[in-house]
Amino acid sequence: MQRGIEAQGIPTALITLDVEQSSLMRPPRAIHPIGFKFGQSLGKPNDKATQMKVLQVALEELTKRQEPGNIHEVDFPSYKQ
Amino acid sequence: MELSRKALPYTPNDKPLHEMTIMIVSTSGVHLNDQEPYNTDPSEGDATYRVIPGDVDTKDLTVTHSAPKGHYNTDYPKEDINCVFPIERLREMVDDGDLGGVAEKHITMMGYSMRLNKINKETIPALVKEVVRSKADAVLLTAG
Repeated sequence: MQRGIEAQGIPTALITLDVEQSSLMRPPRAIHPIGFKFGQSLGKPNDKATQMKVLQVALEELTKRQEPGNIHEVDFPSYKQ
Repeated sequence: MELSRKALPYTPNDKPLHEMTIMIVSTSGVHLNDQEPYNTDPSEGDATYRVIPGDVDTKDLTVTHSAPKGHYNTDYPKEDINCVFPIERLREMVDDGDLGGVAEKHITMMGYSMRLNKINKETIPALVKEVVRSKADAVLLTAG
């Protein structure tokens, strides 16, 4: 899906927890928040601060020059608290 | 356009975030309460997608997903949809001047839907057309 959208000239940024599956697709831009549970891609319910940080890091992928095909592992210490 | 699996489509982006309108495309199974829920019968699967209006009230959103609870617990996004569909966080970034805008429409599907052939041949091309028509500058992709 990400490939299909990028092929139309629209940049994409992916937040994935399933690194194994996602790396097979070699995403153009992607982050993996380390240690997050499925159902909490951006953070726990009502943890606005962590959700905002994950969103900002994911969107920053759009403005930085990327090496497509890599998934960036990102640690969000506030998730574990 | 048929892309080789080896080819990596990559669209360079020169715009800063405060000039960009972002659309969410999510395979998390989010949908409006009054939209048809995704089909969780594994023998049937579900290759359809839902269009979510950009001005949606998050109270009107829920999640239907066939993944086992141990793999994707939908209780979390049912409590706070922003766990997988960060529409309120996007709006806050716009309010803070950090983002240009939130798209007028967003798109969801149910991952884990078992109908990959139909999805690749029919659903994704249709979905990509919706994205192109939306004139969003970029897409945020989320899963469960």
